[in-house]
Amino acid sequence: MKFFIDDLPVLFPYPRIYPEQYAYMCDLKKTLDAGGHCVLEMPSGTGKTVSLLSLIVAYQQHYPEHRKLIYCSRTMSEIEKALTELKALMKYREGQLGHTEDFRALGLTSRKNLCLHPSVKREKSGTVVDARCRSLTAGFVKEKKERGEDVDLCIYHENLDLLEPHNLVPTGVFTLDGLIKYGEQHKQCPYFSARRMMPFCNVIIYSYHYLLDPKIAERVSRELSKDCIVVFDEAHNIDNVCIESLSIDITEDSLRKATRGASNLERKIEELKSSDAEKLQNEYTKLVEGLREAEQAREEDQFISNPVLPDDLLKEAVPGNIRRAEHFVSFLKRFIEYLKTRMKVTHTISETPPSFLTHLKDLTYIERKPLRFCAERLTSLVRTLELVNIEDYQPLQEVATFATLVATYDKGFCLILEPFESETATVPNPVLHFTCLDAAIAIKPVFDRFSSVIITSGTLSPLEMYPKMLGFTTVLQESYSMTLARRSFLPMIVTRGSDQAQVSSGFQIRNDPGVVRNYGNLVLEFARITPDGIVVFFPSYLYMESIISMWQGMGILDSIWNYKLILVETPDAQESSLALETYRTACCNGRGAVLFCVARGKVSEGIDFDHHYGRAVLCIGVPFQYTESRILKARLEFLRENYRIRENDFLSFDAMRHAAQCLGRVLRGKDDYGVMVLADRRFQKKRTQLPKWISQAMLESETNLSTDMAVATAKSFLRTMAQPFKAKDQEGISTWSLADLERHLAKQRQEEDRMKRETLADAQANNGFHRNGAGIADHDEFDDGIDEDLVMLDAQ
Amino acid sequence: MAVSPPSTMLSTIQSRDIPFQGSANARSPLTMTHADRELTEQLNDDVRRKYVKDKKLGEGTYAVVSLGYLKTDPSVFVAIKKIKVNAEYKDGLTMDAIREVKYLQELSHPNIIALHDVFSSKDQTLNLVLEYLPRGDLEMLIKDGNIQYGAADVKAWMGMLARGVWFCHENFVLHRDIKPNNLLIASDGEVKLADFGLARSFADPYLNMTHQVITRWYRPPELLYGARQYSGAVDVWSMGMVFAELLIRVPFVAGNSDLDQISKICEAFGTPTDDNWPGVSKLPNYFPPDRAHIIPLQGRDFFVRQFPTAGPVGADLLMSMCALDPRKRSTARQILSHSWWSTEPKPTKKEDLPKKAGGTKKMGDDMGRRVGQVDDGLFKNAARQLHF
Amino acid sequence: MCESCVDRIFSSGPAPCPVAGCHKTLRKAKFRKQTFEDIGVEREVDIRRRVMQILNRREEEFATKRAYDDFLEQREMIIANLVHGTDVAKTETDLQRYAQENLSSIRANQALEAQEATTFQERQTLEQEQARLRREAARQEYENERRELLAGREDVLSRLAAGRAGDAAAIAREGQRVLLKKSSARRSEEERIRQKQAVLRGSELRKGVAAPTTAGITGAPDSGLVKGLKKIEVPVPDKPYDPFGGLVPDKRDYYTLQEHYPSTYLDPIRQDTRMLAGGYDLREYYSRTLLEAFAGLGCFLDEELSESGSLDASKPVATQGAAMAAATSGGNASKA
Repeated sequence: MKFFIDDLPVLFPYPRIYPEQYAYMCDLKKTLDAGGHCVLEMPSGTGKTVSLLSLIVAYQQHYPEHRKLIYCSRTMSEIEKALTELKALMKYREGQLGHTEDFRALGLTSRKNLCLHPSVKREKSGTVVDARCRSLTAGFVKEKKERGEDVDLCIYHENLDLLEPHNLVPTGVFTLDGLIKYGEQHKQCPYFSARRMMPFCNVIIYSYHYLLDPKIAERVSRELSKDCIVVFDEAHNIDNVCIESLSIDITEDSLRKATRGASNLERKIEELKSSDAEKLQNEYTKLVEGLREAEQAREEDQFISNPVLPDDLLKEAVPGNIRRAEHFVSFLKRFIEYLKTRMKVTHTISETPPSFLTHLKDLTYIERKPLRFCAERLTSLVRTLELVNIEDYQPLQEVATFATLVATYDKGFCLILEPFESETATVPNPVLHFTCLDAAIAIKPVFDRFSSVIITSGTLSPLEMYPKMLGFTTVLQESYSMTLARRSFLPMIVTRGSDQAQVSSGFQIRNDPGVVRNYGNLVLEFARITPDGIVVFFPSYLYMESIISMWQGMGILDSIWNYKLILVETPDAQESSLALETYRTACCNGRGAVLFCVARGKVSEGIDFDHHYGRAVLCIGVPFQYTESRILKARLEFLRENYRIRENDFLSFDAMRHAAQCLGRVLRGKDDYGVMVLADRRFQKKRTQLPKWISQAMLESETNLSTDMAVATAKSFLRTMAQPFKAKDQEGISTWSLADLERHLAKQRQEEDRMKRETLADAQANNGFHRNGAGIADHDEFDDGIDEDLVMLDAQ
Repeated sequence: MAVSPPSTMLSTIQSRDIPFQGSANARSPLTMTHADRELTEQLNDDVRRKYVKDKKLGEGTYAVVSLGYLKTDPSVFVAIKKIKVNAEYKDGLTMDAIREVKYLQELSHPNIIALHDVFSSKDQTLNLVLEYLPRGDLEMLIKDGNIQYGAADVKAWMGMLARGVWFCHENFVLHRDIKPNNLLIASDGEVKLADFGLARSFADPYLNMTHQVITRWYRPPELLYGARQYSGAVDVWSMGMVFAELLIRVPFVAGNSDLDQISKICEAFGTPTDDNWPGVSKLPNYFPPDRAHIIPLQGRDFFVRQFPTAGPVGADLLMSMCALDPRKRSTARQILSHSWWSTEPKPTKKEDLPKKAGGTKKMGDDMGRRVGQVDDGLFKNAARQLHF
Repeated sequence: MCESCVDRIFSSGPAPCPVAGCHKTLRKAKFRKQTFEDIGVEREVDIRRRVMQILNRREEEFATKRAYDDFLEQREMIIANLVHGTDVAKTETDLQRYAQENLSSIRANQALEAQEATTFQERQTLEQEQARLRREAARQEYENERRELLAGREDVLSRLAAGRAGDAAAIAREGQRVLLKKSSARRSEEERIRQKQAVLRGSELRKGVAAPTTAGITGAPDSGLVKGLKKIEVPVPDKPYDPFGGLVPDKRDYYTLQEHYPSTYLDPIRQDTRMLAGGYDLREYYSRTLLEAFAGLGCFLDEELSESGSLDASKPVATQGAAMAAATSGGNASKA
């Protein structure tokens, strides 16, 4: 259908549109017009991606600026899905407009996923693929070949040079699969085709990391212009992605490898000194002059790029004591040796960057300044030495990146030294966690650089948390409710068992047999009444294991077994995917199954249980994070001190976003239906923190149920849902045809006119002054559910 | 021409660092007659050709501000403010622009934005060539939570502001729109009083002035009560408000209507009565306070408690600027003689003052805005009427 | 060598080195614990420590950054020479000579470094202490709230128990309202504290910045080994702050301003409470009128004319204004 938002003609590739899709597009347009960032929470299964793409493509094509769209998603399958939607959209537009638009869209993923080289593509590890690819494609390798040396080149990459550089692939939308197929047919490298074509694309779809991870962003996303529209889809975890992209873990093993790397560098320098001393001398001269190697920086495949550095530093010349290659290598060795001494710890230590630097200086005379230049200096050296087998230098690069970061940021980072790698380990394997505490650091360049950044997901409540944590301001924050013709999902909070005893995964009572039995009965009862699939989420693997074994002892598992097959998610990815497959089969063949999984695991994030794959989801307990973790404690303290986010508020927010993610798994569209059960007495207080579309659908009477009441309610709900439901019944209410939309618009205009008249009258009466946005409802009731689990945190 | 600088000021006026041309020809667009049209056009062209316009810095309802530089020396930057042709006025010139040119021409002081030249462009719009102030304004600094500043910085800024205001008053000019976003910052950190669109000279006795001046949060009680004869004390009140805002980093008395502003002032400083402000009840818009809610005048303790950063001496100075009765308020001259300036801490040197990036855009926006507006849109609907 | 071996061989005084072919005499006191795994690095750090104590010039002593960088590189060269045993003799003599010649500068810089280290330590401790206090405050606040909440709840309960059935809803509502009020009060309180802290932090920061400077202790410039040092500068003492910025207040060339001038024209004003209440200040009028009356006196038209005769004369704006005012004779009533 075709409709207008203000003056913008939008082509929407379906004959019907959901009201929330329309509202979403209007708000998107407002944001783009205003030039600013926004946070939009759109219910899952309401066609967020297609709305987003339809509007932005319409926007691009209509206005003369032709702002480029950078669409970031989390996984390869989501990227592929978005590309497919876009392809369909463009096809629809072509049909409607009667001509093909000059339009390009490409997706980008790692070399490992796109490689066509017969031997390289067989490598299992991504870093190995990267390294081998580089050894066949780097600029100096080709130079060598031209000088007549015997080196291998990748033919797929070479072929690209025969094509017009701005027209490596034809216009149109290529899915990743499509791109690989095209590459195979034309014997050209899909990865480099996509990379090189990025400046000429209208839409680029890739993973978060290409923008957020400074090591990658510098290479891939540098040339994107300021007016690009950046979208982060499924962004409810974006703060964690930001933090991970700047956090580094260093182990004794990686230090050993780094030492080996440094020694190799030393040898290479000696070799080069005797064979081609001029090269080193050239590098040295450049560094003395403080010239950045502009032409080389543009080379499409740098070895490392710099972590986020302040601009003024980048303009400065490299300090004198690491200008010479051999001095720099000895500097690195000293630094690595120092780190080794720090690994000899017997208990956990946490330290701030300044105190780390002081101690470092006392022992090794390494100062902050040269340390800051470490990553950059290493890049330059590696380039000068023309190293091929870079995967050997990976650990050294990590150390250099760490050096640069620790010397650059006084705040927002924390070093934690732990003698054991994990809680359960008994053999010491010390780890140095260099943890980023401030999600805003990694994403700051994105907000600084791009005028419109759109953060969107199905679960972003409370919306104001994201601008706070990520340090940006929005022009618009909105959460949409879901319009439904019938009540197609039933969210409930179960606070008590049938015996009226309270249930909770709270620390004191979680192992109480009464509570465990009540939880068991809840699962059992739902297994009895629910058709096909049920998904049950636990707060952690540890808790899941203990409760399952207790259920085993109580005979509950056996009883469940009478109704459903039982499958369990494990930390092992392959085991889990096998379990998932069996689960799906059992759901399809009528046996029915129940899947036990973890609220922060893979299943909760990426896997959909639509239709009969999930008719009920049970959330056993509030999925709080493990609060004893040093890293978490440090982050909580940081959030309190710098963003005035209180520990409990954050933990509660974090738990609820994961709970909401779990609930969202079973509802993937408007024709779908399912029961959502939150089983913990503490959920009652927290329901305001659920996304609007879930909390709105929750009846007051269903927020404090016992197991038997919940089962009765669910039973009647499922019976109603089993009645045939015609798409027609939704029309005009939860789906609009063009006519419905126009009716809505007319009504809206009337309403606006009325408002305007009223305001005008008001204005005249009150000397024309109005204050907007006064009195935001203040309903933050004190949260006492959390306290029992949390002795106040003490990060020192 | 009634305003002329006292001879004592001439010494500083000489010390301008950019050799800009005098203003004889700058006035030409305003006083053009048929007889000398050709000559003035010639002169005007000469002036226009002196500058090269670069990128646009900002745009408001009232003007477009661009970066410019001297043709002869591209390292000398200026801001060129092009007044938009406004349909409301027949000859396309707003009063604001005329006032701005008139008063800025007269005033030359390190703490007042310098007007280097005026010319008209081909489409007959007026262009003011102003000093280029790239580091934003005080409002930006106040609002930016990432910037930390202390008592010494506030003292430095207040000193510069007070000198600028004193110089205006010494030259018989009332600024009538002092507020943080009209205090722009030069590249060397110097604060400069800008936007003279509401300025006027001291009135003769028996002559009415408008009370609809000064952005509400900085407007003194006598104007809120509709006084039509007033003095430099109105600017002093605004300075006091800026001072308070610098200290606590939020507007101190932020009413959302004129009435609300009065009641907030009463709450903060005390209720004006004929006892503490003889004759106040005679002011046109005065209304008697609710007997039950008369708040006594705040004493020194209040200021010391409310503004601990200022220290007791600073609080005393602030109090003298916030006297409800304009006759009891300090004059700019008295402010500069206050002992606060010589107590510890010393004012920060201007080059060491906290700064913030991104000021250029802000300057453009500040100068393009119409006077009396603040940019958060709160005043969008405020009706402004000016009586001359 | 392990500790017990050291004990065994050297406990009875100096003994020859146990390594075959090495004939040095070693003492137990000179043995110490190895810090680094790599013995090469250990040795290098030892040498570095010695060199760094002598060549301890600071960045601010150099005229340019380039000169400082050259110095850093030179120092690395010296260390590398000593580590790899190239040119040891010459390097050592250079070093010794430098040490003798620049004794005072070396000492001063060492003292400075030590001082910086202590300041840093102090600041670290202070910060930690403050962080602890803030944590404590947060905990306290949290506890208080919790207690208040419980107390409020009990209060509601006991009132419910005491009251009639009809009151129940009202009491519960009231309880809710009190809670809301408290939480919004807490918020504004938080905001206030935050602002206060920001201001305090600002002043602390500034205090911290006023750290020691090296001005005045620079040794002999360009002392043999080290090049590119800054010339000694005598710091200029700060002038006292002049609130008037160099201008002289109240200076009038030809007259003294009085507090009062008799005038029947102005008398009504002196009685007009409304005008006075608005703050109208006759003194402003006096000063303007007098100045306008006397403004022409200092100007000599001939000079003015000859100077401003050519239009491109770079004359300041205000002078022109004065000339104009003089020419049109002061005293015209303002029309603006």
